[in-house]
Formats: sequence, structure tokens, C-alpha cells
Amino acid sequence: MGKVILEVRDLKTKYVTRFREDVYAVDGVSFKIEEGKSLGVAGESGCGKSTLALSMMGYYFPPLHYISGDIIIDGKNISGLDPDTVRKSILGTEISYIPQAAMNALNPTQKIISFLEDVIHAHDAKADKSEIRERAEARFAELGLPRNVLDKHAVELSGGMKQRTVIAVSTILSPKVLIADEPSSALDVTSQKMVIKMMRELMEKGYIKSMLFITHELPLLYNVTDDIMVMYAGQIVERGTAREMVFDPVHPYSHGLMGSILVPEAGTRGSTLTAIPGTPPNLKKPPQGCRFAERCRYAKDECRYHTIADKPFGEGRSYRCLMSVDELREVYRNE
Amino acid sequence: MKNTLRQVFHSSKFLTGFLIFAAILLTMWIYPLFNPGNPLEMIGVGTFAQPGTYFSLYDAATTRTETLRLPDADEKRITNLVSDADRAAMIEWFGLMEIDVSEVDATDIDALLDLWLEHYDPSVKIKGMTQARRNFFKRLDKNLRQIRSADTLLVMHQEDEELVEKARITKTDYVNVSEVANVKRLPLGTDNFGRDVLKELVSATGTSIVIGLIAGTVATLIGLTLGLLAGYVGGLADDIIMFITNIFTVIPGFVLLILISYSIGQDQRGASVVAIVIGLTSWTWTARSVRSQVISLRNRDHVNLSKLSGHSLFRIIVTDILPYIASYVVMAFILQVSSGILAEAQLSLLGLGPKTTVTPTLGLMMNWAMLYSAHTNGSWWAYFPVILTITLISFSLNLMNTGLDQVFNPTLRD
Repeated sequence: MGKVILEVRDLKTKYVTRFREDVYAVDGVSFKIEEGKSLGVAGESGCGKSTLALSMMGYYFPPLHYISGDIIIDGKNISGLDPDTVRKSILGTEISYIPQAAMNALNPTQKIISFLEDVIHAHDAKADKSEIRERAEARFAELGLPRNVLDKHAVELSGGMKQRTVIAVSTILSPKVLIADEPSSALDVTSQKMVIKMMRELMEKGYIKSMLFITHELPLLYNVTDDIMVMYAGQIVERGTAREMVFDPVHPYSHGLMGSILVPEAGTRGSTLTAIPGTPPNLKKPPQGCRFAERCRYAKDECRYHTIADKPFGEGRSYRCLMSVDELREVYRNE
Repeated sequence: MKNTLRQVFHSSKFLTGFLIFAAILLTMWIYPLFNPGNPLEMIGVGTFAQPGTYFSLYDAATTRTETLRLPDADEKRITNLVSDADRAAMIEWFGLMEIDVSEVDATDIDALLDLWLEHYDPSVKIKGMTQARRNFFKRLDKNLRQIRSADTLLVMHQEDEELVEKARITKTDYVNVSEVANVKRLPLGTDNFGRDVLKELVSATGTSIVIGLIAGTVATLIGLTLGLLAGYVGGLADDIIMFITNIFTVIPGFVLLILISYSIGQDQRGASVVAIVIGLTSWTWTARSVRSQVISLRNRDHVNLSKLSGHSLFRIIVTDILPYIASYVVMAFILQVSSGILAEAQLSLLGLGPKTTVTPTLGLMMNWAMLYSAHTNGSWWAYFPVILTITLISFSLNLMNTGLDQVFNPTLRD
């Protein structure tokens, strides 16, 4: 066990709709990331992946509201701090964020260098421009980005370059935790590869100590991250190492999710994909029992009434289902 | 920035408008250098002197005269002095006296005069002619004889209770205008108070443009601030601001303007006060359109990220939202300036403009022209150049606006 860098304890956040209805998008999420490790978060659209990222960053602007829970980075609780403190002492150095749509993340009216100046000035108001430029150039060179990018506007960069620039800008202060929210989903394969390579480099060179990687592309997670955690309807349904999660998923939802991956390999042409029927539950009124029960092939009546806790098993794995691990494995084997 | 400017000046519409406006501004700057002085100074006692070159007869008489031998000068002078009515009267008299005029051409004034001087006899009585008519012919005869006489005008000068001959003007004397002192060239004549219309117009254009700029700035600032706040903050702030804006929208702006101007009173109404009042009543459309633009911008990703990184409201608005709507705001500002100038003209035409004693404005000039019936007595120079100037200013500003619109809005490009 390495040193725990990030710990999230029972984080609950909600959206408040126009009609004052509460939508519990992140409902009691807890996990830990150790130093030098990366954790992938998988799940279908609307399961709360991006909300989890925003909640961890402290983006509590209406309609998103904080309910309870702690986010502890390196022994320091960062939840519930006022925005100015967060800006001056947390963002960039403790935790940093790569947005979902990095294409539009950069203000098109400013040069790239001004974003870096903004980030550095927030922590060191006295930093002088030539110093910042030197620092930025050194970091950009190390990450394989051309130096002239600094004096360009966002519109002059290609999609992949923009995404890599965003990553370089958000990690300029070597944050302890990097949250990457679908950093490669809008890119072509080549750019995707470069982005992934860059994130690996960041980890290897120690610029970031841990990473939370959010995506809906499971094969990518298997290649990039150490651990994978599957979210469903605002809750974590299963957690394990990447290998275990892909080859031995326990929870019926993870199982279904892994079964729906299309792998471009020989012999897979013509094989049918298994889809999970139905739609996720309405989080305005989450079901009392298992949230996946409505769509679960193995659901029993009691699944709908029992509140199901996170059950640990194996080496640091956990899952959220009424059935035991052995029962589930047996069911899958007989299919 | 450089590229934007190049693109903007590449638009022929913008360029045309800009050149017209620049020409107006240049005239405003250069003309007073050549013709300094108070534009409201009354230079003559007459009202509505026609456009032309004026000099004092006294000055002209004492200027060294020259004799020009122009071949038809005398004939032209006589032709000018004998009106068509006089000619008709002469022919009428010949007819009554049964003198044959068939050989004389009515347009040949020399021959007609010869015939008249030969035959006219005041003692002849014609039956059926009234005494008044006879006196008319006597007066006509007197005038006609004067035209043919070789009189000399004496200009006398009083010295020690004695008149001394100063100059002698004969009918063949001419004066070189450039040697006469105090020549007034009035390309647009004078207005009802005997003031140089061109000088007044140049000064008035300047004042009106300043009024337009102040009104435009006030309106754009208010509209921009409220629009940005309503659009970006949203929620209750949006509701309150839009409530106020809607109230101001449904009240007819011009009526409000008239009432405010009226209640301020003539004495307090300087040009800048009128400009601010115009600005205060015309910000609503800017506020509404800025708000709608901002609403479409406030959920852009980079705005959300700016929020996420803890920037202040002011900074987000200035760095992340304002640059997007800057071109739009500039266009709205140009339109506000144009409508400010027009509003001032309308207000002044009704007599509710700035006070009349300090500085002329385009609207005041029209007001004076209207009050002193320039339009009914045919003094076109008192109001037509003013109308033309107003038209040119708003035309050029609107042209610039359309040009900018085409540059900044790609869907309008051809």
C-alpha cells in the first residue's frame, strides 16, 4: 500500500431543477487513490461521472449543490472552502481538471501564455512575465509541445494540439491530483494516442501524483489506468484493478458493460454485442433498493426493497449487489 | 487586431460611410481655422440674406476704381434695370398712342428706349386713362430717362462742417472685389438673425455630433451594464432588470424625452444635459439585445471553466464575455450615436432642445428656420443644408454599421 493521495468520503451532491426538485447525481461516493496510481471511472451517460469531477473541483454553482462528504488530498480536507481560498491555494497545486470539451475550454480571444500567467499569478502574484515564460517553455518542451504555441490563440491550434495544450496548462503547477474528464473522446486515434502518451509522461515524470480518468471508452481505461471503478446512477457499483474489471467483472452492470465492448480483433466480425436493456432510473426519485434492479437480468424481488451496501472482497475490490461473488460468477459461467 | 481592421476597411460600405463621416469631421476641424469667431455673431441686420458675396457700399466707393471696357456691359446693365413689366407698360403706351412698334423688337431694349424718349410727352392726354395711370407713366418716364443719363455719383465726406468730395463714381466704374475691405462671402447666406449660415452649420454639426456621442455613450453604457448583468447573473437579477427594461420599452421614448426636457426648463438645458437625457431614454434596446447575446454565451465551456477557477464576476464578464459581444456593442453604439443626433434634432425642432444662446445645434437651426418661416418665404439656404447634413451624418453612420455587420456576421457576407 502506497501513501493515499486522494480520499473521497461519502460525497453527496445534487442538482436542483427549475421546479425545486432535487436530483441526486452523486450519491455517497467514496474511494481512495494511492500515490503514483491512476483510477478510471466508467459508466454510461448521465451516471454522474462528470458531476463527480465537478463536485470534486468545488464547482458549486446553481443548479449544482453540495450536500455532504469530504475530499481529502494529502491529509488536507478541501471541501467547503470559499472560492477565493480554493483559487489561491488548491486549484492547480493540489487538484487540477481537464475539461470534457477541451475544444472550447480556451477563451478564443486570449493567447495561450495568458492562461499560464493567470494560473501562476493566482498562486504567486509577484511572478514576473519572463519568469513565467521560461517556466512554460521548459515544461512545454519537456512534454513535446512546440514553443510557438505559447503565442498563439486557441483557434490557431488543431484539436489534438488544443487538448494537449489544455493538459499542459492545467498541470503547470504539478498538481497532486489530476481529474481528466473524457480528455480524448473528441479526438481522432492519432491525437488520442498522443494525449494518452502525454498523460503517461506526466505520471512517469512525477508532475502529477495521481489521476482520476473519466471516460466511457472501456478499452482506453484498460490501457491507461491501474484501477477501474464503474458508476451507475450516482453510485459506485464495482471497483477493482483494470485487469480484474475487464476480465472478471462481478456486478451485473459491470458485466453487461464489459460485454458491450467492441474489440477490433480478428474473428470478432459478425459477433453480436450484448446490450443492457432499459434506461437508467430517474434520479429525482431513486429506487429504494438496488438502482440497477429494473434492468438487471438476475434481479429478484428482494433486490427492489433492500438497501445494498458496498461489499468488499478480494484484494481491495468491492461491489454493490445482493448476490454473493460466487453466486454471480456461477451465473455468468452458465450463460 | 490588425487583420480585423484590414477586413473592416476592406468592406466598401464601411469605407464609404467612414469617408463621408471623416470628411464631415475634417470640415468641422478645418473650417473654423479659416473662418474663426463666434458662430452666433450677427453680421448683418437683414434676415435671410441670399447666398453670395457681400461688401459694404461705403468701402467699395472709397476703394480705387477701375474702368473696364466690356463690349456689352452697358446693354446688360440697362437690360437688368428695365423689368419685363416696364417693357409691357411701354408697349401698352405705344399702343394707346397708336405708334407703330411692329418694327421694334420687344427684347431690344435699346431700340425700345430710343422710341420712348422720342415719343413720350407727359402733356398728351389720352381719353379714358385714369389720373393714377397717367402718373404711373410719368414715373416710368422719369426712371427710364435716368437710365440713359450719364450721371455721376458723388461720395462726400464731412470735414469741419463742410462736405468734401471723397470719390466720384461713374456708371462705367468697376471695383475689384479683392481690394474692397470687409468683404463677406456667404456661400449659404444668412439666417433670420443675420448670422452666417455656413459658419453656424459647421459649429452646429460639431455640437450635434458631440451630443450624439454623449447620448450614445450613456445609452450604451447603461444598456451594456444592465444587459451583461441580466444575461450573465440570471435568476432574480435578470427578472428585476428585465422588468425595468420592459417598462422603459413600452413607454414611448420620445414622449418621455419631451416630458423630461420640458420639466428641466430652458435655462438648465445645455447641450450636454440634453445629450444625457437622450441617452437615459434610449438604452432599452441595447440592454435587451446584449442580454440575449450574453445568455447564449454564459454556458460556453470556457466561461464555466473560468467560473470553476474562481474568477470574479467582473473578470469573467470583462475577459470571457465582453470580447465576444464587442463588435456587436460597437455597432449598437454607432446606431445610438446616429439616433441620438436625430433625437436632438426632433427635440430642438419642437423647441425643447438646448438653450439657444450658447451654441447652435442642427436641431436649433431648423427650429429657427421654422419659427421665422424660412420654408414659406423660400429661404432654402436656412434649412436645406441642415437637413442635408443630418442626412449625411446618419447615412454615413448607418453605412458604417451595415459594413461592420457584414464583416462581423459571416451569414451576411456576399
